[in-house]
Amino acid sequence: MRGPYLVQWHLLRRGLFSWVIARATLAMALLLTGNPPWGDGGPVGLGVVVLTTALGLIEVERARERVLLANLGVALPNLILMLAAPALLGEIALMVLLP
Amino acid sequence: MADCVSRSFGERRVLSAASLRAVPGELRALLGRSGAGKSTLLKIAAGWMTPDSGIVRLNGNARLIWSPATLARLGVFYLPDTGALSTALSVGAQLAMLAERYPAGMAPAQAMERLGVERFATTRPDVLSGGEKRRAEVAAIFVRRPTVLLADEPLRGIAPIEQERILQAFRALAAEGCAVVVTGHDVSALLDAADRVTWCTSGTTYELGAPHLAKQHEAFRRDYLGATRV
Repeated sequence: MRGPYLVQWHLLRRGLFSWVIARATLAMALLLTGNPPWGDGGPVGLGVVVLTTALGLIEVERARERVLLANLGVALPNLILMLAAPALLGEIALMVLLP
Repeated sequence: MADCVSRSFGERRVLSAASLRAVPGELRALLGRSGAGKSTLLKIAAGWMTPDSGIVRLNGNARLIWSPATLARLGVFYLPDTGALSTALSVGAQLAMLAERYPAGMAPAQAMERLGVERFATTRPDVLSGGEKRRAEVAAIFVRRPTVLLADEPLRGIAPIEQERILQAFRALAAEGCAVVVTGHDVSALLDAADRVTWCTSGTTYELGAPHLAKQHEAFRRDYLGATRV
């Protein structure tokens, strides 16, 4: 079945943008407190995923996008999944790639 | 769509036994004073609000709780008074999303041309005027081609000529078999366009029939229309 790729791409891009913002902010905060900028793995990564999803949902509200997404048939669990997916993959990649 | 629904906000009971029918091929005006519960009833019918009691039916399925996305997939399009388009994307991009998701509807270019918004394809809705934005939203409805349209005060704050154009579009949707329900306070325009009138008052609803019968309804005239010439 053909998926709604334009909607998925839009939400994944928004999730990616939110993750970059959340990660950059966290890295600066960690550097200022004398810690390594990427944090110490697991719990920090999970926090970043939660923060990214929250930022994505705030952006959906700010853009008054909830009605459009509902009219497109995007249910809330799917919306959360698509907003969280880039952060989840990004955090896994960081855990694998960084020492 | 909504059968005998009730809804309270704290101590205040807005709806006590209200019903709303959406009939294919029919444009229904849902009228009532401000605060009578029209928007609440529409939100319940669209899945955006859960009733305290009562059910919402669609295509033979009855449930107390529907999600807006489920109803949308089944053919319902909800147009709230605050707008149905994102402020973060261009009109054309949003219509393209709808077209991809629901390929049976009108092509975005054709819908934009029909509503006279083709020059706004690359514009975000938040920079459009009220009337232009509404027409872009109606273009989105044509792209979706829903089986049920629930429009909450779509004529509010726009010029009479824009109102006429939007009501013509709603009439065209009804002619294609869509069940259209519209709320608002633009009584003359709505009564001219509607096939049926539902009156929402004192927490309940009354089916008044065709507009000419509604105009003759004594309580409706006395408590809602007043001295309005319709």
